[in-house]
Amino acid sequence: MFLRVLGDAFARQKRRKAIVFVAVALGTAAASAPADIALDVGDRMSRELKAFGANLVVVPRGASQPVRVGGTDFSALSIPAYLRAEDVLRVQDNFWKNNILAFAPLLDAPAEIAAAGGAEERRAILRGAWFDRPFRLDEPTAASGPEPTTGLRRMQPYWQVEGRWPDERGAADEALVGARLAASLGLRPGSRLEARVSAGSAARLLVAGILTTGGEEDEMVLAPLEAVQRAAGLEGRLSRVLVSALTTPESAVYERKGLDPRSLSPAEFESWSCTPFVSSIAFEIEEAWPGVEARVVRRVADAEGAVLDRASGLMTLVAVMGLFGAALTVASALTAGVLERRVEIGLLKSLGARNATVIALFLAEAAVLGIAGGLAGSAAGAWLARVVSASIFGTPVAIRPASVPLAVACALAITLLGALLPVRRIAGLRPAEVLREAI
Amino acid sequence: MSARLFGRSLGRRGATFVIALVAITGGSAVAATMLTLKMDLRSKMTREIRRYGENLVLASGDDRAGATLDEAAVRRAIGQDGAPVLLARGEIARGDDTAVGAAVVGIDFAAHRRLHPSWRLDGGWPLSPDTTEALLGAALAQRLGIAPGGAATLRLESGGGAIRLRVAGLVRTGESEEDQVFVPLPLLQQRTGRAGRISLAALFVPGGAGEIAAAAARLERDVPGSRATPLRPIAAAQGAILDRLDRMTFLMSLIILALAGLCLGTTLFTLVVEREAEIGLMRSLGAGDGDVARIVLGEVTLLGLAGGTLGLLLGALAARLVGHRLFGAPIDPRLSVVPLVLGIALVVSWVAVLVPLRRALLIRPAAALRAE
Repeated sequence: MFLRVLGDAFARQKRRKAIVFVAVALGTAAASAPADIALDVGDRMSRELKAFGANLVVVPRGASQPVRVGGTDFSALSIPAYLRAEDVLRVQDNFWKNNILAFAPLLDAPAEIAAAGGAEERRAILRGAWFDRPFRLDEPTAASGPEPTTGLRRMQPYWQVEGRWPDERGAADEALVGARLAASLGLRPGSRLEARVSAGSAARLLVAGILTTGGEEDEMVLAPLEAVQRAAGLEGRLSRVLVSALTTPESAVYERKGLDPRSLSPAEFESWSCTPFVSSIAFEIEEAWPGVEARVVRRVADAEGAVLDRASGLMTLVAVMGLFGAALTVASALTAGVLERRVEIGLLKSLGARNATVIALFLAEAAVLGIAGGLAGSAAGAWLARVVSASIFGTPVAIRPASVPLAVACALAITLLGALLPVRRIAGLRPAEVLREAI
Repeated sequence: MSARLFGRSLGRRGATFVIALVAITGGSAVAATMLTLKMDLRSKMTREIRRYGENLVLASGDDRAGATLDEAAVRRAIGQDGAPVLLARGEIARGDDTAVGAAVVGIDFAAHRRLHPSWRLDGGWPLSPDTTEALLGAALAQRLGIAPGGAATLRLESGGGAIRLRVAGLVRTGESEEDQVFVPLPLLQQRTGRAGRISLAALFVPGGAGEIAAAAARLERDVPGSRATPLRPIAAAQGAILDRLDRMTFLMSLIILALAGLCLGTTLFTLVVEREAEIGLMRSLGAGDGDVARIVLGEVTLLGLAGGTLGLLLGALAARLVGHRLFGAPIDPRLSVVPLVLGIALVVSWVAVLVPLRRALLIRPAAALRAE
């Protein structure tokens, strides 16, 4: 009997039910799409955040970093320390391999730079680097896709190159020349230059492009790592590795904990080391690569954290508003449903149905609509998140299967909540009054 | 007559009317919050990006080593927002131990503290610029075995004997600052014989790439012989992040507005159904289509204005709250939002009333009155 009345209600009130269905679906979509995006806004904005630079620098333990201002070297005169180039994959091949977005090994050597055949010489840094190089962490299998690549080009999406990026696999060694250095030496894409490192032999390089960064690179020559290693007589050596990692913003409390992870209690250590804080990623890199120090570049980590916090906060706000809007819409649509069916309710009551039965009937209807609307809404929300994310961030968001049951449960709760108001009216309806209207 | 009908109809339809009002209020509140946020988002986010430190460096246009600028001229041009720096080389040691080479940086501690909120200090900032208190890079301090509060001996490459320094704090940044010695600017100027000269000034300019380029041009004009270099990637990222957040909130607000419209539409439909008898009676007393439409539209317009006003108040409150939670500073309401939100509320109300209005115009007096 109950089920038949329920089925009947759906068969007759198609338009009304469609409105509630659409309201629930729209509400779920409006709430779940921003929630989906908010959950990993970091993935979405990784390209923009990368522009702040590497958030980790891997250097030999106890090494000093070069200090240069306007082409003048203010570095301390200390014995240079190097990393072994063959170990470089360890920065990615550790617990956090999926959070390392890109890395770039660097080798700096001071050199005398001159245009080929030119008389003028300038002292500048010759920097060996990876630009966009394929690498592989594990044995290639038939199923694995194209090799991922990494290097400066991946890390610095906003660098402007006039000409093109160097081809690292070509026969000739190609280089990028910083804009200011190029201007003072009269170098253009296609010209040749000679770089003489005091300790080693000269490197002959073809200028592939002119680089403008607004930073120290404007005064440098950037060449493939191996070319600089040969020129400087430092085969198999690196000065440091820049690492761009996807991190979770770190609170002050966790930052203090991260300073000395070995003093944490096992439980604290576990929660700290299983969260991608920038300090726990640094810790894992140091574990995977003995003899190095992974330094957190604080200004980058801070700026990233601030942007991420605010962005996900905004999205959460939008999601809450969407949820609120959905609850309202459902309430209004269900109220309209009760009013339209006054006669039917009156008839049921006059035939002896108790208030509880009629209310259960309406709640069951709401539940069916809630579940159906929630399913449709989470599908629409996933689609919406994809479209919005692709149009705004350029990367589609991955669909999370776990979010579907969550969204449906939310939709169900909202629908039942929205049904409470109209259901209270049922108890107040008097059969005699409404039936008189119908005659 | 129609005004009285109106008042009565508002009074009698308790719950349904409240839902309609809440729907339009909710929609307007979302619109008001988002619009207010949007207007302040740029300046607020820029403040957050400020944590990165400088985005513009003013140095001498002369490429030779040791070229300097006039401190007074630079300070006039950069005002409070910039930090002057003088660079030198020297050797530092703990007491009479073996000395280690280091870059020596003369800075204005107060200005650097403002410019670099991301610097982590063990110990504290030096209290007064006139003392011989210094900050030491953490990596350098570790090599020398100096703790905060310890003493260090500095010898400059340019000569002039040993300077005894008290190390007020150790600087951790993850970058080259960890290998530098920071001393008060006047001290380094005096000891290197470069009184009133600085090597460069670092500053933060709020806004996008355009504002930064404009500031660079102005500084080069104001400080003769200088060159201003924007840190381009930061400026570009700053702009891109702001654009994305803007578009994101805009798209989502549209969806929520659509939702509010749908909610209002179904509620108004309910209102019309509830009042079938009333409208039928009016018709039988000679009211034409125009009269019915006028009453329904008048009611909806009033509803839209009331909801819009409430929404504005709620939105201002929400924006304040969001400002506090997200940015640690309230976002003040803006007058320019008022007409926009009221306009949106009215347009949404009018669109939402179209279907219910059609239903109202279809009511036949005979059928509606039979029920009474």
